[in-house]
Amino acid sequence: MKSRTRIPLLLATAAAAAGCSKIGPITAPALNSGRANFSVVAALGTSITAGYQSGGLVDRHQTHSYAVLFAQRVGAHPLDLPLIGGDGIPPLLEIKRLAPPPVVIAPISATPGSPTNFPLPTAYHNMSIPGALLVDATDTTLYQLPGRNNPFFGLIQRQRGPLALQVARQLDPQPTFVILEYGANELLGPAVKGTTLGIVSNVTYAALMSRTLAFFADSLPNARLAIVNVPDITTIPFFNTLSNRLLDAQGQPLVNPNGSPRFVLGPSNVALTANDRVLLTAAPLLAAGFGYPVGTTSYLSGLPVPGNGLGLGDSLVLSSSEAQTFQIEVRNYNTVIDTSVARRDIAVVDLRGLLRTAATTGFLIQRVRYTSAFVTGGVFSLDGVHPNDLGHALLCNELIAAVNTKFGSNVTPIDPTQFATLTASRAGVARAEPGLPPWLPAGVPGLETLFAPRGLPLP
Amino acid sequence: MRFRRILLAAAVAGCVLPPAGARAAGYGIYEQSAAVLGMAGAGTASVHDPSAVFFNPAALMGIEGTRIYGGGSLLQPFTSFAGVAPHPGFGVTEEMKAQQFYPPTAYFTHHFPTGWALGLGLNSPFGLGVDWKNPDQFTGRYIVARANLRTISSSLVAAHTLRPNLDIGFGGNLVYANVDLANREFVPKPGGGGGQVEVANVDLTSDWTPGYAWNAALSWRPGTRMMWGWIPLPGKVGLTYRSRVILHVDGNVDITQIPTGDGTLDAVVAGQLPPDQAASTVLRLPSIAALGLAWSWGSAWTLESDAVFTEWSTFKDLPIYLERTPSANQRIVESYDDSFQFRFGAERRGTAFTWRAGYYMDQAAAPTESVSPILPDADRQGATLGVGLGFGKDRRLSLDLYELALFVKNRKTEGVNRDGFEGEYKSYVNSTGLSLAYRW
Repeated sequence: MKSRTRIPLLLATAAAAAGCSKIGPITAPALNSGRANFSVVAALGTSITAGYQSGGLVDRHQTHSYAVLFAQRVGAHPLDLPLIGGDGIPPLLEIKRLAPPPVVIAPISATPGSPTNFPLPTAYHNMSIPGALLVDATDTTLYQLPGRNNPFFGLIQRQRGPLALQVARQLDPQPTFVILEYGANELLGPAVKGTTLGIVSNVTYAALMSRTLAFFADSLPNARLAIVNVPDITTIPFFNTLSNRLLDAQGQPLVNPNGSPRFVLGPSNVALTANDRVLLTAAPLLAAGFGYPVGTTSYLSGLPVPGNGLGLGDSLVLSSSEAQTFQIEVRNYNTVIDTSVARRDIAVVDLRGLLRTAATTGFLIQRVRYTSAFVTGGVFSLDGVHPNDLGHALLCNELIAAVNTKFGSNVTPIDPTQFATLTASRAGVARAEPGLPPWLPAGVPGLETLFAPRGLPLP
Repeated sequence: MRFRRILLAAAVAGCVLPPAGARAAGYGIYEQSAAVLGMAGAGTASVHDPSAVFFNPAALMGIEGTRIYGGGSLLQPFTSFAGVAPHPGFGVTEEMKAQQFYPPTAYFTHHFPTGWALGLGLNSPFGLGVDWKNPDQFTGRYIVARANLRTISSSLVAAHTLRPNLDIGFGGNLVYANVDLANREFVPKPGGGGGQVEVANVDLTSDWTPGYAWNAALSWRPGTRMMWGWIPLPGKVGLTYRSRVILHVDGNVDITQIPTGDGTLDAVVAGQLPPDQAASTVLRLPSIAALGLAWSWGSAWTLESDAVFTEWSTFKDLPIYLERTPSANQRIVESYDDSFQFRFGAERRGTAFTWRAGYYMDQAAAPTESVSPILPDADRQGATLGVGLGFGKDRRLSLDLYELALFVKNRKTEGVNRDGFEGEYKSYVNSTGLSLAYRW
């Protein structure tokens, strides 16, 4: 009888004990790489993949490039990187004044940093070069072209042959997984100068993409590839921060007596229209009274400056029609990418979708909404063009999602809050500053050296 | 005598202490009678003590004389959490503070000789109590650090015999509710690559606000035992409906800045934080419909099976309206689903004791997207045991006790939590209660 009562009691006690015990930690599932092999990851691309932020390249952000985060996540061979110490090349931007408005941004110092891993006897795993075009992946012709004046080829390519060739032949062990990210500079180069002249045609881009993919198919037949698609460059802060309207001392738009908005003067002293964009590089001129008609006052610097009646030059304005041209070309480039991968086993990473989300709904992270707003949005660095560390973490998760879908792997996403940083690129608080927009009194130092001159003769 | 004093003190304390802690799906509390809970809450048809005011007012017609009833439950929830990627990440575990809640119950009933009966009730049909350990480090503190929902419902119900085998009941409820909700605010740090710093503690505290509801019930005794094939048809059928309550609750929100160590940032944050101000919200307490079928064998045995429907779809969101800075209004989306409970109980009445046992299953109301540290709702199963005994002349004084072990199914967020707080919750609840009743 006693044993008959004990058994149910013991069972009940055991059940209760199991129920009220604390849940144990969950460990990450063992990595299953699916049809891919992530043991050696290499990357080729532009300033985005290089980890360029806030107007410069520096080790503390190079190591936060989405490609590096991905390699770490999948447990790949440690990446050799073309690290640059000190304040970076060029010295990075920082916020010099956060309050009161306007926020003022300028280089940390006048002293460029220096490379710390230059003598590496092999190629770097991340051969991404700020300012690189797709043609540069397989062709050395343009690296040192007079007028291009891009220091990063010398620092990263190091006259060791074409970038793709270095990745395929000068790494030991050979890469098993390659990330490609090209196309943004073909459009950004002209766009940051306010023109459509010099856009690399999508026909040329398609031919170069075909050549690059064929090279990797021949050189690394067993490696898997992921291609990052081309973002809509017109959504980035560089083209969307400075208002095309005249602003008062509180940063509020001025209106005509009939209530219609008053616009900044543009090329030929003609007022801009509602969908024209003022480039971030126009800030110093606006602050000096350019773009403001005589009789009005510019307060962009925080001080009243009379308008001089001289319009902003064409290189500081992206007209509505020019913006549309770039948007069409972005679609064309991405069609090229989609077509190119259609017959190949290649994952496509949706950078375009990521930045579109940032520019529209934003991302909610710990209930903070991150957007593409300059300084206050939390996704872009202080040059208004390149993602910051959080942006790279988000892009890493896009890469992970694309790879899992394409290759059947189970790579777990990273926690963006763990990879977002508190230093160097001086992003601002999430809510918009009241009043005047943030600005860079000296423009965006360094950006002009990134992009190839107009009409670069492509081979 | 000392025992009576302790019981009286417990009853008074129960009425004063704020009840909290959701024990049915969502934030419902079904622990409203020790006798009925002994049968796992299956009492819509067979309830035969003053808790009929809650479970089925029509059943008051079966309760003779005048009765007074007081009691309550001790609820002890245990909840823990294990994180997964991306946030808060693998290896992270969290735990709620060990808490104890005492939802009270008090009823009064009187049976008139004219074919009417009247009942008064005081109980707490909804509640929620969330308090995570280490609130300064809790990884979900941007969602909630502490949350409490307290309700007190007073009922006035009447019952009447329509036919010899059919009684009806109806009445109204005055429900008071109060809520408080605390969480932390983060912003990206100036100088950061999107990294966040904690800048404020936000604490919403509401006033006690009244709302109104009505209820209707039916108790039907089909009569001589009938069979459907070899299945006996129930001897009693009970049906109860309690309407929803929508409360527009006023209160205050206190926003306390947390220094970051960066004076410039603190100055900017101070200029942007909304001021302390009046705030309001809308609380939605769902309607509940219950159908009970009871079978009796002789004078000793009763079996009952109940199906309880809760209109949780009424809990669409928790809006927070700020009076002075409406641009900072919030809307916490919940989008709950309607849910069912199935309750089964047995009672055996002996000469000295009445023994009870039961089992129930309760569907989660929260969709996966809404499973959060505020309310990690999940499917659950409960097993109960109960005992009742009488004292004094004609056993006019009765004591009922119950014990409930509630096993909550672990609930995963499956990567779709609205606030990006991903992982798995584990909960267990122990509940025990008693009631003391006296009849004249």
